[in-house]
Amino acid sequence: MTTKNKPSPVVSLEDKKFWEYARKHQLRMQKCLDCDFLRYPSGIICPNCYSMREPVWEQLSGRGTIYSFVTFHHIYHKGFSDEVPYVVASVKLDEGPRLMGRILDCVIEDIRVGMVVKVRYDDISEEFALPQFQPVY
Amino acid sequence: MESLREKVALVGVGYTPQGRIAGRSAISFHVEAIKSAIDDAGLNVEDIDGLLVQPEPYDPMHYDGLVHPWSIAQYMGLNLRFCASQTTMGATAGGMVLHAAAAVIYGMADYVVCSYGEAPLGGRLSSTESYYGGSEGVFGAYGFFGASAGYATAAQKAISEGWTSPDTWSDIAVNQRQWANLNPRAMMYQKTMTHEDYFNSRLVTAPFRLFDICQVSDSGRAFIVTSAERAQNLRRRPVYVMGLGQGHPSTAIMQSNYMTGPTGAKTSGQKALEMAGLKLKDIDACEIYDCYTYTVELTLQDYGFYEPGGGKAFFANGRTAPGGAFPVNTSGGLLSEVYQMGFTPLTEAIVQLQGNAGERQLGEKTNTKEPEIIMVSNNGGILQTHSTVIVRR
Repeated sequence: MTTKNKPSPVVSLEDKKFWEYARKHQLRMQKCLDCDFLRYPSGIICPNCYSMREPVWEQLSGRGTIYSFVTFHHIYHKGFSDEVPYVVASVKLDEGPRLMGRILDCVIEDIRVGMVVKVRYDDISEEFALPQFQPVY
Repeated sequence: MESLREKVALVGVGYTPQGRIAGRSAISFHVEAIKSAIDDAGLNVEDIDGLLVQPEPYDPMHYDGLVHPWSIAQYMGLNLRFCASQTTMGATAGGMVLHAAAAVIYGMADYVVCSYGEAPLGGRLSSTESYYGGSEGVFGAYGFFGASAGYATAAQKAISEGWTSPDTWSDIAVNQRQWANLNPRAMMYQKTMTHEDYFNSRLVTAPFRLFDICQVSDSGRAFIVTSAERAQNLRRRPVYVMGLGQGHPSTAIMQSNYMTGPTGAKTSGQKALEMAGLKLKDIDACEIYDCYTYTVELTLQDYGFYEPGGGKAFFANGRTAPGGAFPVNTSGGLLSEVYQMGFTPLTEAIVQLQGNAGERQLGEKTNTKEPEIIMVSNNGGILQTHSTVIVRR
């Protein structure tokens, strides 16, 4: 998949490890050592028990369901001009957290809330692989 | 503990030209609006000793990017005892009323001006785009751009739950356009909208069409807060603050659990009504932050005016339009008047209760109830922050 002048992910200090694992095609999120809560976006404190212990980066299955989605008809960025209309969803991963991502390899009209999807990683540059979703049939 | 109810009043509204206006900076709109508000109240610039400024969006043409009260004080020669930059994004204006009220009540300032301004249309960013940091934005890699996408995701969830549809949103858009058609200041003053026009408008971020989405505007707006006592001696009829509330669920929309409510509006509305000592049936009209049609439907739902699905009847048949039983967004709102964050609905409530609304004046002029009490909502981010102001004349 080519990037065609698409924006790169914006990486904050909190996100660094998420994107390092993404480059290895692994979906990992922070898991609290005190209460097992999986948190995303990444951060220094557990929002469930407020533990400040350094979390582990747990590997997730990549499976989830579509919580909701939006269909882009407007071309906000030239890099997407030959992809509209396209869908970005908020996916509820099986383990709990919600992750945003494109829904690919699917007829737009078939996309619906509750659809089962699985993450895949697409290398979009030397620096980044992007998590995106495809339906599980 | 004493209540804040009726301790302070809103006494001046400042306008600037609004629309597509080249060659102006955001700070220049703040300054013009502040001067206009001072004139509207019948005050002098020297009277102003308090200033609250909403600093965003980032203006790359201004030397430090954001507008701050000290910059404005320097421009205008203000002598401030109280000031701050304040933002909860779209919920700011309502939050400023609390902050200004406290300053006035505790003697930190006599007259507090609150201001907003932006100038995105000179080829630069709009508010709805700049929320995500520009046309690329934090989520641009995912193809996710702009605030419209976030709200559309929430609206899609509501559609999947089965209680709303563009039929309701069409009524919201069409009704508000009718108010704008009575408002010479409104960007859409001379453009009518039928339901057919609504459904023919292009899909932007589905399920939203163009006419579900607020405008982008070069403009500024301001209002002044003072004590109820001082308000008696000024140019216009005082507009008393009855109740204030806030609610900030905060979570980014893609991780949120409140796409279909309850948003911060629920707590915020309850608290404001409590402080005011009022029930929903006491409210004569509403000015509801309308970044999107769905936001209007969801806010009034969270305020308790109807259950999910009840929005259809609430807005149908011009019920919220001129001549209707329950006016909503009487300037045309963010959808059809002008985008000035929470200042748009709040200042419209003031102007209506001052009796200064011209052709769109609630009462005999528009065949609506003479308004005594108006409930104002301010919503910020993507349903993340919320403030409520209840005012009476």
